[in-house]
Formats: sequence, structure tokens, C-alpha cells
Amino acid sequence: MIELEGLTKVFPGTRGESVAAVNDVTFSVNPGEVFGLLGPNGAGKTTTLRMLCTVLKPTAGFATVAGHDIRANPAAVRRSIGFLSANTGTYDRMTPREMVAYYGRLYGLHGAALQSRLDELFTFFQITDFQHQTCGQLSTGMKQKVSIARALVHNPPVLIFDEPTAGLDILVQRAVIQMVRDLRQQGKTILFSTHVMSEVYKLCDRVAIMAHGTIAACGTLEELRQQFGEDDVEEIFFRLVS
Amino acid sequence: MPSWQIVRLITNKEFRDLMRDRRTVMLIIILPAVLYPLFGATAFLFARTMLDQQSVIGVMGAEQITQQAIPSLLDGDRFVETTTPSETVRFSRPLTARRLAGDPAAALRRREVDAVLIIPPDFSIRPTDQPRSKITILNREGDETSKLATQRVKDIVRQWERRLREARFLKQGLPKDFDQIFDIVDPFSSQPPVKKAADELRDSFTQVFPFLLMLWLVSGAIHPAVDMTAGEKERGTMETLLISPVDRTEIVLGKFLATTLFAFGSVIWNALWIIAAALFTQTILNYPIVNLIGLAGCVVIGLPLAMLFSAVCVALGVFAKSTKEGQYYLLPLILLVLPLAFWSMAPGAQLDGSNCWIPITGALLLQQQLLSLTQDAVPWGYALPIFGSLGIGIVAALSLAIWQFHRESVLFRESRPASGGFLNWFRARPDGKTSV
Repeated sequence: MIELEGLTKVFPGTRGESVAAVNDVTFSVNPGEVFGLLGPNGAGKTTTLRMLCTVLKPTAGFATVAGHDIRANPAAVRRSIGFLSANTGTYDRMTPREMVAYYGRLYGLHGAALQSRLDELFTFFQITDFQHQTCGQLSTGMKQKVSIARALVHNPPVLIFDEPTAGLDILVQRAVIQMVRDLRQQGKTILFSTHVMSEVYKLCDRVAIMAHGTIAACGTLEELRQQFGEDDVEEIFFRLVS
Repeated sequence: MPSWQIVRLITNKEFRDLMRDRRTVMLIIILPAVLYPLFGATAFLFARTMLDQQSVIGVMGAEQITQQAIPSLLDGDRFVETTTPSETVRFSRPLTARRLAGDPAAALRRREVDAVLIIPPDFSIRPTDQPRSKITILNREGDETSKLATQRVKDIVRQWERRLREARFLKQGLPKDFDQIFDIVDPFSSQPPVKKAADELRDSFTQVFPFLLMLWLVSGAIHPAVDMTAGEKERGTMETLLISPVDRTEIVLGKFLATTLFAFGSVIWNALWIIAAALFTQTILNYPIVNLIGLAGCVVIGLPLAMLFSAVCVALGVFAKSTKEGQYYLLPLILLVLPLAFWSMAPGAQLDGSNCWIPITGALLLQQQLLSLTQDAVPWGYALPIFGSLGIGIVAALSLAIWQFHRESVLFRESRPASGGFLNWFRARPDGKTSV
């Protein structure tokens, strides 16, 4: 489960003023749920996710991930999450198997348990055929599959996806969407940041629309339609962010 | 406390990654293996070419000396050369003399001759004739061949002058070294030429080897450090690593150890080639050039130096957003350490209480001391300040690196508004915006 309450991140601006990239954000994500975080570029989605991943410290507010406080127990938080973004890179001089195994070891997996997990993931994501090629030789889609396997190697209860389909071709996008559905079936808590409306329709049980660092609206798609008296969620989105 | 198992895991991964980088392998491993033999062969060829130089000296007024009953300077179209035990350079071809009658400058210009020896028409060797006769040597300015020929003909004329003087003394019933007031016994004059050459090589090796070692260490640390810090940010793998449960101190230590391992490994690899060349030369000359035990000690002292450079490079590398920016920050490091290294190479520089605590300088002076073949005891008393100052430098640089790895503004520069100041000006793009 993910819970945020009043989460705020302030950066110093160019003229010494304070700029709130994320301001008083509150929402929660339940196990077995895909929660969509919608917003245009610069809305504060990535900063929010980075705070949840503990790589940025919140200026104010409170958040827990899988029951661990992001301030008090960041190591336990990081052990409980799998993170994937469109910008996530791979080690070009390592093979997919070496890279995912490396992360598995960083998460404390070893020996037969690690090899078994690698086999399972590589079969599921169809990486086996190219598992011994170096990542530098792989296509963007193949690399993204490797990144997904890397994010899931320690079988985390919470998954945080930051625009994971950006820049991918339609086949890989479909594979990623399917993978997220499968993970939901497994009972994972999934926070899915996107600005692609079709992905919201296909995946998200609930959504929060972010604009200018704050949550402008939050609920199921149906609740949003009723709240704004508008059938088209895309129209609601444009109205809130513009 | 950092988990050493994790640190080792990161170190192994980074080191393996580096060894798979073709550019790195080419630069650090293959290039020395190709370049050192090439340099050796080139130096050998250069020396051979110099000694095989076929020089032609134009001689004007040769009849002035051939008509007199004195020891000869010329034997047909060859100069008469004599050598003394103190001479180390032996040319394989004699100087050729060509009688000149016309304009000597024109002959030089047309490259008919490499230098011109002018003996005046009134040339005389009688001691009573005053003023003394003048022999003039002309050369082609800015021409290396001409310069070498001039130096050589000057030496030959000096030898001839000595023979003339000896003949004059003998004629007067005096010993041939009559004008020599006393003999000097020095360690150099009595040495065979090969021993002198070996000594000169050894002295150069003692001074240059620690300096080269330091340069290899810096260049061996810069590339891996940039690749593991700024390179990781650029490739988008740094964020993934930071989101893993690994502590940032463990990440820094892993990267630092991999950089140290690589820099030190490249030093050992380069040193092996230099040592092989020195041992080969030593075998040819049959005189000691290399103090192998000292050399081993010298390389071992390279380890704390490697740690210092690696820590500094990792600390600065993480500050950069891209590999290119990282190189801008790290390449000046070479310029910063050069004065400290040159200090150790200053004539007469000795390890003492005033310089032993200076990082790099103290270590290089100790390395020189270890390499020398003198019977002086190695001043181990200075080891504590030398290694102490290096240790302080390593800890300070590592602390800086760890601090940098904990700074959001450094790790996620693109995610936040820019702060002002000099660094933003430094990173400014041509469009006037900052690059953050």
C-alpha cells in the first residue's frame, strides 16, 4: 500500500525564492490496484515518485510505502518497490542476464533462488532469446523488457511506473500494458504515472490529476465524470491542467 | 556501516564493465603494448640514424695545413678522428671533407655541404705569431643536420689542436701534457663510456619514472570515474542504482575501489613495459639501471596515490551531468598535480621535513629515493607524514564524494530549478539558459 499525506517538495528558485514542485499532495494506493497519476510535463509527477522512491527528501508531509515511512526507513522502502521509467537505462556492456542478476544480488537474492527468478522473468517477458547479448546491441523495446525484469527481480509488493511506455513502439507498449495488468492480478500495489489517456482507460482503477504541483482531482473515472459533469475524461484533464 | 559484500559486488561489476569498454581497453591496455615497443624502436632508429649521419664538411684553405709538417687534420677526403675513453658517442661514418673555393654561404645554401671549415691564408701554428690564427666554422641556421655536423667538426678540430700542442711540447723536449698543471680524479672521467651512459640513463629513470607513474594514475582514474558517475547519470542507470536498497556510501566505495583498481592496474601494466625496456637496456649495457626492489616499492607507493586520485575523480565526476561535462571538470586535475610533481623533479630536490607532508611531492620524492642505487638508507622516517597526508587527502576526497552522492541538487540537477552563482554561468548554454 502507498499512502501520501500533505507531501510537499520545495526547491530554491533562480532568484533565491522557493518553488514548490509538489505541494500538499495526498492520495493512497491499495494492493491489487493500478492508480494513475495524470499530469502534463512539469506537473510534479516525477518529483512525487522520486520522493516515494526516497531519492528526494520531502520538504513537508508524510508518506508510507508498504508500511514503511519514507523518511524514517528509506532502505526498507527501497527494498519494497520496483521502479521503472521511460528514461531508465541499461548497462550497455552487460548482458540482460548479468544486469538483472546484478540487481537481484543488490536486493539480497543469491544462488538457485536468483537463477530460478531470472528464468521465470526471462521466460515471462520473452528475454531468453537475447539474454546473452549485450544490452548495447538490443532494440529500445528489448531494453525496456530488461528494465521491467530488473524492476521485478526482487518480487516487490509495490511498483512505481513513471511514464514507462514513453517512446516505445506500439507492440512494446501493449506488452507493458499487459504486464501491468498481470501484476495487478498478482495483488501488487501499482502507481502508474502517465499523460496518455488511452493507458488510463485501459489500466487505471483510480486516477489523480496533477497540475502545478497539486492534486486537482482524484477518484475513479466514473467519479470524475460525475464530479465534473463531463463524459470525456480527456476534456476534464484539459480543463484542470490548462 | 557499509556492507563489504555489496561494496565488492559493485566494485566487481564496475571493473568488469570497464574492462569490456573497447575504448578503455584500447587506451589503457593495448596502446601501451603497441606504443612502448614503437617508441623503443623509434628511439633506436633515431640514434642509429644520428650515428650513421653522412656529413660533408666544406674546407676552404686546406692547403695551409697540408703543406706544413704538423699532425694532419685531413687524410685525403676524410677528417682524422681520435677518440678518448671519456667519449660516449661514436659515429659510424667518418666526416667527409670537400675542398671549397667559392662562396661558402652559397655552398651551404645549395646543401652541397653541411658545414664549412675556413682556414685563413695566413694560418700559422708558431707560438710567436700574434695575433693567433683563427679557424672559422660556418653552418646553415635552423638545420639540425648542419648543427650536428658543426658540433662534430668542432670536436675534431679541438682534438687536432690537442695533438698539435702535444707535438709542440715534445719538440721542445717537454712532456706532452706540459700545460696540464694537475690531474683531477673524479668519478666520471675514469669511467668507461658505457658505464657513463648507463649512469645517465639510471638518473633519468629515477626522476622520470615516478612522474610517469603519477601521470598514468591520473589518466587511469579519470576515464573510469567519469564513466561510473557522470556516465551513469547520462545513461539513466544512476537513478535505478539509487532506488535499490544499497546505501549511497556503499555505491561510492564500490565505484572508488573499481576506479582505484583500474588506475593501479593500468600503472602496473605500463610499469611492466617500462621495466622490460629498462632491463633490456641494462642487459645490453651490462650495468645496473633498475633497482628492482626499489621499483616494487615505488609501484606500491602508487597505490595510495591511486586511491587519492580515484577519490577526487569520483567526487568531481558525480557533480557532472554528462561524460563531456565530467571531462571538463577532471582534465584540469592533471594541470593541478603537475606543479606538485615538478617540484619533486627540481634539481637538488631532496625529501626533507619541509616537503614530506605535501601530497604527491613527498610521495614522488620517496619513490625517487627508493629507485636510486645509492647506498643511502631510505628515509623511512618521513613515511608517516607522506602517507598521513595522502591518507587525509583520500579521506577528505571520499567524504566529499559521499556528500555529493547525498545531495539531491547534484544527483538530480535536471529535476529542479537552477540555483544561481558561478557554476550556473559555467554550465550556461549558448541560448542563455542554464543546462540544468
